[in-house]
Amino acid sequence: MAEILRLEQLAKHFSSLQVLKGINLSVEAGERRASGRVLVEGRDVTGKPPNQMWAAGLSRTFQKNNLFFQLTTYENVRLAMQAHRGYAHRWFRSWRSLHGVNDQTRDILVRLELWGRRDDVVKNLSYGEQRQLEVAIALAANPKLLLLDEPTAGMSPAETARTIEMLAALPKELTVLIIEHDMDAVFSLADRIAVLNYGEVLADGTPDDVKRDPKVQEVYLGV
Amino acid sequence: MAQSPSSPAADESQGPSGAAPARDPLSLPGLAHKRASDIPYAVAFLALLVFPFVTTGYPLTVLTEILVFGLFAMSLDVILGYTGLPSFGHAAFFGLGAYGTAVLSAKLGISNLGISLLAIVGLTVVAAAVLGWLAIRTAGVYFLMLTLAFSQMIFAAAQKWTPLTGGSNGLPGVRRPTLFVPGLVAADPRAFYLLVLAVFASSFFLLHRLVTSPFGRSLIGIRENEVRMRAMGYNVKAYKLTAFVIGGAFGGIAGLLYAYFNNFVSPSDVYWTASGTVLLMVLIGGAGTLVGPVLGAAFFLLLQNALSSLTERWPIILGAVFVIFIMFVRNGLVGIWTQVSARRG
Repeated sequence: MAEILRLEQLAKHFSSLQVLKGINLSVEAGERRASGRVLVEGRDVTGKPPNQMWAAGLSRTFQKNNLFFQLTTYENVRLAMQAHRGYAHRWFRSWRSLHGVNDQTRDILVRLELWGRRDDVVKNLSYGEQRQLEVAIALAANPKLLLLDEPTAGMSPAETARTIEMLAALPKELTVLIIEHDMDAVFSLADRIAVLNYGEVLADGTPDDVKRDPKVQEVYLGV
Repeated sequence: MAQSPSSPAADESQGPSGAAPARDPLSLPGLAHKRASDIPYAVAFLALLVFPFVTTGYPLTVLTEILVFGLFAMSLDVILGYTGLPSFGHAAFFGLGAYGTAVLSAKLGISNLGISLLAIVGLTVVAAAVLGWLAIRTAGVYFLMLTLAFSQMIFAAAQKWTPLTGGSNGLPGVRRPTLFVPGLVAADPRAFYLLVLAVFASSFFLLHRLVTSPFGRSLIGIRENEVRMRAMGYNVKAYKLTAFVIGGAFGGIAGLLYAYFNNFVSPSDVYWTASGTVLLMVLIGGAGTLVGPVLGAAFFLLLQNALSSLTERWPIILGAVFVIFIMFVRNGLVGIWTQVSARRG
């Protein structure tokens, strides 16, 4: 499979705090990846503004929900969809007449089990539903690579389980890079895992390899 | 998928494409809405059309003024209510429109509506593009101050450039416009009212298309979460600038109508209080809607007329009413209406 993402000697500082120390990582298309928290900041190093990353087929969710809280669930996804399909600047026709945009918006909402909430203002959604909506918006760009920044952060165990189920059901051809602390989520979703600790790759391999790695067991799995 | 309340199959019953949701994600916070019918607009337009044949005189003058300021307030709302840019200098475009029209008519003897419209739209588009290009680089109170400063520059020019503008005495002698065909003059109040109504109604139609278009939805998205829009690939600055220019151009058209309506322009039409007045009209009527600013303009002018005929101290009462409105009536007159109809529904 083709390589879809490569990080070369990636380093990142926040003032004196070095959060990444020369990370090398490569992701193949269609692969499910997970890595430690520190890589969150790594994606900025590409130096491209977010709208260009979005255009390049790289879509992300935010660690903290970043939604249109006063608009409906439907409108949140529809805004992303009309941008992706290049209709956002049309000014002399009704948004209702864009059937392609509206159909695909519905498809995504149905797939992520949010269609029943389509007319609800987002601030009235549960936290878990808002996290799902983050994924729905990210999917509206029809990305090649989806970055999920702590998709289960702040969720109840039930919500976490549902989210894992939902993420597992995403199309297999979509490459997903998950940054996640929840080890259960990581191990049930990932094809490959890279563990980062203090800015360095501690281990990189299949879930089984990583689970057996003594350094990982010491740092993350608490064995 | 099993627990999904309505599957795609169940949704097919809603319509052939199943695309449009049952309710409109309206811009008003917290209020989902049925798709608005066009019938109320048609009824209102017919009533406005019939009005001058029922009564003329003072009521018609007031209604003409309401339409002019309604257009002015709508044009501000594209910038303020839809895009979320706090412009406090919208009188600049109104003033440019009014003075431009007055200079054309009183100084150059050109009162042809077509020529004035082209000149005013050109003038305000350029002015709004220059100011907007600078102003959209700032946000919040800085945006407000920049637009205020610009409008005060226009005010200073109106005040000081006496040979062109008549200075603090204003510029009298603006004649009622000839229409696109020479010889056809909207001279009497009824004809002029119908002209104002025609301009108002076509502007309303265009702006309505605009705010219900994907572009208009994008403006609402920018108002709600600019950072998110940028992350979705929107060129936020271009959208803001376009909205600012459109608002400025329609503000200029309102100024044009006002100069013809009053046969006179004065620096007070460009003063910052004029920007404050139109801001109040938008907030009282309901920002982020098109009908709201028109209702706000009507409310403001009717109240002002009624109070000023009763007492000399009318500005105090007017001020108190506005304080109550801004503090206690969320989303203005339109907000009251939607709340009442939501409770009934």
